[in-house]
Amino acid sequence: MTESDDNEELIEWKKFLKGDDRAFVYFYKKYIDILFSYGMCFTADRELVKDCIQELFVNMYCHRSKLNSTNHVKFYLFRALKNILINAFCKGPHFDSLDVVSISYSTDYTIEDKLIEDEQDQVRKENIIHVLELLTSHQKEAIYYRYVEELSLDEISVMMNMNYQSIRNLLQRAIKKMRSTFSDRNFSVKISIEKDSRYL
Amino acid sequence: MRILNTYNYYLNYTVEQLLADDFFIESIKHSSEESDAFWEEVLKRGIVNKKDFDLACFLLTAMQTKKERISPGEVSQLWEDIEIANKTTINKKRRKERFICSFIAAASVLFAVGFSLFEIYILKSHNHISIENVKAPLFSSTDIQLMLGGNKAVSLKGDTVKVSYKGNKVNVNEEALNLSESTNAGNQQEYNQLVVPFGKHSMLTFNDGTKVWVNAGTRVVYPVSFKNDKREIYIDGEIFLDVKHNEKWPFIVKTSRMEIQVKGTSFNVMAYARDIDQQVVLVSGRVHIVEKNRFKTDLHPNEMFVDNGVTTKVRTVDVKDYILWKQGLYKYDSERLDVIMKRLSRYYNKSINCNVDVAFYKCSGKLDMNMDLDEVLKGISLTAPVSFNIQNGKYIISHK
Repeated sequence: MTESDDNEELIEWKKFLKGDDRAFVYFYKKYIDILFSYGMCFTADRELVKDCIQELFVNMYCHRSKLNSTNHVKFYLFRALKNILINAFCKGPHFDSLDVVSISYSTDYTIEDKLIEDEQDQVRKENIIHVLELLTSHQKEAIYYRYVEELSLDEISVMMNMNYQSIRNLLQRAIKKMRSTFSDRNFSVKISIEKDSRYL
Repeated sequence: MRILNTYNYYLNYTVEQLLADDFFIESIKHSSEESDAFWEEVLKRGIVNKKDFDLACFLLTAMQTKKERISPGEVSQLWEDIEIANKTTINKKRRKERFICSFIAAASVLFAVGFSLFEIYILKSHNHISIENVKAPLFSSTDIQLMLGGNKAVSLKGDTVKVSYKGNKVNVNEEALNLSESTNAGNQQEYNQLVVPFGKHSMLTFNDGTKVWVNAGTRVVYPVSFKNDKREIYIDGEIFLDVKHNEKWPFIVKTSRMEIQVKGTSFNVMAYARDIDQQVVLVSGRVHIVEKNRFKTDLHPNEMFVDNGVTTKVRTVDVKDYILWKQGLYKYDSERLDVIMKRLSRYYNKSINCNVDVAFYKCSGKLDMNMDLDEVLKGISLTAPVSFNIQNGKYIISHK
């Protein structure tokens, strides 16, 4: 996310807190896709995810006077949605014990086809996806926050209820695992960043 | 962002280190000319091994997940559900808070009185404000108000008032408005506005012959005389327009969210700035709608354009239903009861509250709003399983 985008968002957030309904619409439109695909990482139940998103936005709208100012709206929305999902799981038929409730993250990986330049890369792609599938649910979740949604390590530690150092270690181990798949000998990947090939 | 001459910061960075670096991640995910140039230089100088760099890029792109997508249909359905739930929840809260609110309201009137002096001062110092920024009068009135240049307001008595501009004269109900020399309609640059409170109606005729029917609770802002290049007005509320055709003199209606461009046609616009829904219904001719920064559409006769805040739709309708309000009739077709009541509340300027358990009943029918409100509500209670009672001058609709 760019800085100007961040600024625009904080201005809209302030407008929303002051009672501007159009700012509410702005956040719905901006985040509905992201929140839905995020929610779907914890369950395969589309309706449940939609219900939870509805609860999130209704809470946000009806209790806006109690909301705090935030400097990162995306982080606020993610955390709120995850909490609502956890509550929904507690109530649902999935849990009948009094164990500590945790929900587990799972996802499929894909590499955008435009990044794959030849058949050799195709093989590499399959390799890496295989490795990614082997990561633990925690590792996958942390990777998602860090590399897909670009949350900070502090934010991730709140999201996952773990301390900063544990998150760092978790991520490092995951990267190491992925890295080990590619010894220097067999790796000379061709990736194009943007459209040009200056890194080839 | 890191200062760009610190190339050596990345000396011998490994794949793991690169992937733990915020600037690296940002550069790859949202590359800019600046960041591209930076990494190009880092690689050229051999500060980071090219293979490591490429691998880090590859892994970063590999970590993108396959996303479950929500369909546009689901997005707008979910939005409708959220809106309904918001209204229900707010209604419940409001009943508790009403008592507290009356105190706050009293306090804010005192504030407003102090503030108005300041406001007028600011308005005077800016001569060229654009039409959508013209301020509504600070104090609402139960009469129709005509705001002339120089902040002069004229109150017009009666439930329906005709205002027409002819040359330099303003006629109210066919009689010339008696204006003192110093305050005629205002100079060319200035805007006039007509503010119609709830429970009242008006008809406005402009210099060019265009006629505007103005529904209850509406504010129309327009220049004293139209500019040479375009005829432009701003509305917050509901109007029906019959625009005098002139191919070379486009007519533009602005609302809080859209701009409707026409050459000569008749159409209805409902766009209360504080409502989330805005709609345009075209009777004849053609209109072009431009929504702020995002959406353009041409509308054909018998089509309705609706913007519900999230998505926009065009559908075919029976236009007669949408302009019946001109004759004091209101036809609705499987419309939510709370929407119907909101409209009646505007028309009669009475507070009407729909209990939550009946708010979402879908009703169809036709009402004659020339009758008084009690009669109209009696009519509704014969066709829907609801009853109404009056408490402290407020109407409450509940389940029978």
